Amino acid sequence: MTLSLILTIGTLVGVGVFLLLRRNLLKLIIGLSLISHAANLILVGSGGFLGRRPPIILPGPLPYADPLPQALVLTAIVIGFGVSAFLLVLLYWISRVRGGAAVSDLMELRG
Amino acid sequence: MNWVPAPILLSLATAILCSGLIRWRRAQVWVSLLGSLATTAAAGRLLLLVWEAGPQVHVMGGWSPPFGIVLVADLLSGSLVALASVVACLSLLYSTGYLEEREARAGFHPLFHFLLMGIHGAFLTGDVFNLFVFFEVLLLASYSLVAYGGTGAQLEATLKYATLNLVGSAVFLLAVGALYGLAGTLNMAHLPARLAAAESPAIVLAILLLFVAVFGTKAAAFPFHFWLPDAHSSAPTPISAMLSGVLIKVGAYAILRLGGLVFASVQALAQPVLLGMAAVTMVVGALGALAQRDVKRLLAYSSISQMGYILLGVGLFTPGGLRGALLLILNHALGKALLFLAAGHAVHAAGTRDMQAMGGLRALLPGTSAAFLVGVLAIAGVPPLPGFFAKLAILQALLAAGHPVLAALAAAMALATLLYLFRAWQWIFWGTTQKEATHAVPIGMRAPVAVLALLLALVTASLGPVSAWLTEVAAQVRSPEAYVGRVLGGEVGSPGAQGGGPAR
Repeated sequence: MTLSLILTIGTLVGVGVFLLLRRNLLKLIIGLSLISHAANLILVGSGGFLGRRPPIILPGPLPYADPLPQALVLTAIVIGFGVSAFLLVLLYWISRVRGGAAVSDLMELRG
Repeated sequence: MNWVPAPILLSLATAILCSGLIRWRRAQVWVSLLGSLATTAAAGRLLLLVWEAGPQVHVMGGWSPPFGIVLVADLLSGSLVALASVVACLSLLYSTGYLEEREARAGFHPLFHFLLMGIHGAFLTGDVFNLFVFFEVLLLASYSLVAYGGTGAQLEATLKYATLNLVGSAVFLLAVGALYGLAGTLNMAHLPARLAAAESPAIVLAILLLFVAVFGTKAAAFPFHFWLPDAHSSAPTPISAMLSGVLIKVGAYAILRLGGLVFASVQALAQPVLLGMAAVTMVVGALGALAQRDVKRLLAYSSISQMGYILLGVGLFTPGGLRGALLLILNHALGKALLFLAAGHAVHAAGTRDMQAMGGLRALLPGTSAAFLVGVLAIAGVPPLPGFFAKLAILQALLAAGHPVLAALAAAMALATLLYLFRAWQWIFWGTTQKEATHAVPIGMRAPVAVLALLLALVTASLGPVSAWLTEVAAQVRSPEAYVGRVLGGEVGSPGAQGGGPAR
């Protein structure tokens, strides 16, 4: 289970970085969002990802997963959602002002 | 009555009220100003309480630490909250004049108070993940505020700012995950003991360096500073003052808090990295500023350079270095806010940001010219202003710690600061009038500049007590036993924790 988690994180970061390096700004935003999801998975993994164990302490000797990272991830996902929404609106405005959504349409950025 | 969450809650309440009043522009402005005054008063009260009775703790939701999230105000965070709320108050007053003549878009005031809430929260929280949440609050608000005018330059600067800081946030989460995996707690007072007991300091050091990269991005430390000149120069002027005056200090505060408290066991190991970053930041900022003709870009680059000085003091972590860094934070918060706001007058009057196209504004704006000079003297570090003593303390600390090369570099960059700031003052206010400047500057924009200049004069006049105060703050940062004791010890039940949450 841990191995599949690691592979997923690696793939997400890899695809995310690839998309960050594209010329299209929409791909940049998708890339950012994939990277933040990879970070979320790392956070889930930090509590010891134990597959199907629930993060709830039930009566009896049933094993349970550490609930804290899952609570943290829930918060992080909500924040990531808000940020993605903001970025998409920003992109919409940029494409309206500049008439395009490619890196080459950005004209006033300097060092 | 527990005062620790008061600045956060008052900002939040003001933001919500302002959102509700979005159609009633005048009422919104009054609520916003009053809310910001109330926040400042609460911050002052909190600081007084911390001074009299030691660190204050608020347990959120009644979950006792280290399990629940705590808010902690010690001298460092209390002082910074007070400083931030004062600068915010003045920026807000300035914005009432600044926005008057521009297209009135809704949402400025709510966003401003959300920004303030994030700043206060980041200063006051005692939990690493909660720090992440408050960082996101303040970043999201600041993205929207930088893009506020909706011009092409602002939107592009926001995209760059947001992209770099979002990658930073992902690394932040990664570091939080690693920290939790290693220590099993995220409470700042609980972490030091757990980390000191960790089997290999190498992995603790690696996590600390991840955090340094994250907060270096927020504090615009080299090589993560590239977003700052664009974002700080294209933002509306009162927001530039907030970003440069307060926001980048949150990054420095986080490095200081984590390095001094949470990662105290490996702090010395990370020192070469921090000092190197700080030195390059200082040089890159100063050289960048020397090359600018746009007044706001010059001030933005100057902020990078000053952050380099602050991080030098933070990285040294000696009493003298910390005192210098803290004094420089105070000096830069007031001085750079003053410079941005005063430069706003000049830009407003001349209708351009190109300093060489301004010229001769002294006749039209004599008060602004004098105030700008005060800011220049403060940031450039000319005695008797506090900037001089701050840089002197950092230089002495560098020499005492055996870094003569860094000290020489810092001295040279102080001269460069003097050069580019005086040149800017000369370009803007002296010489022949190049343009028939026509715009009168409204009173709402003049008053905050005058107040900031007076505050700088006040700090200069009472440098002895200020310095003694900062020495005390530095001492508390270097020996956080009181902080840890208040959060984890039995004292939590006393004055600290009565206000919040249901009875346990």
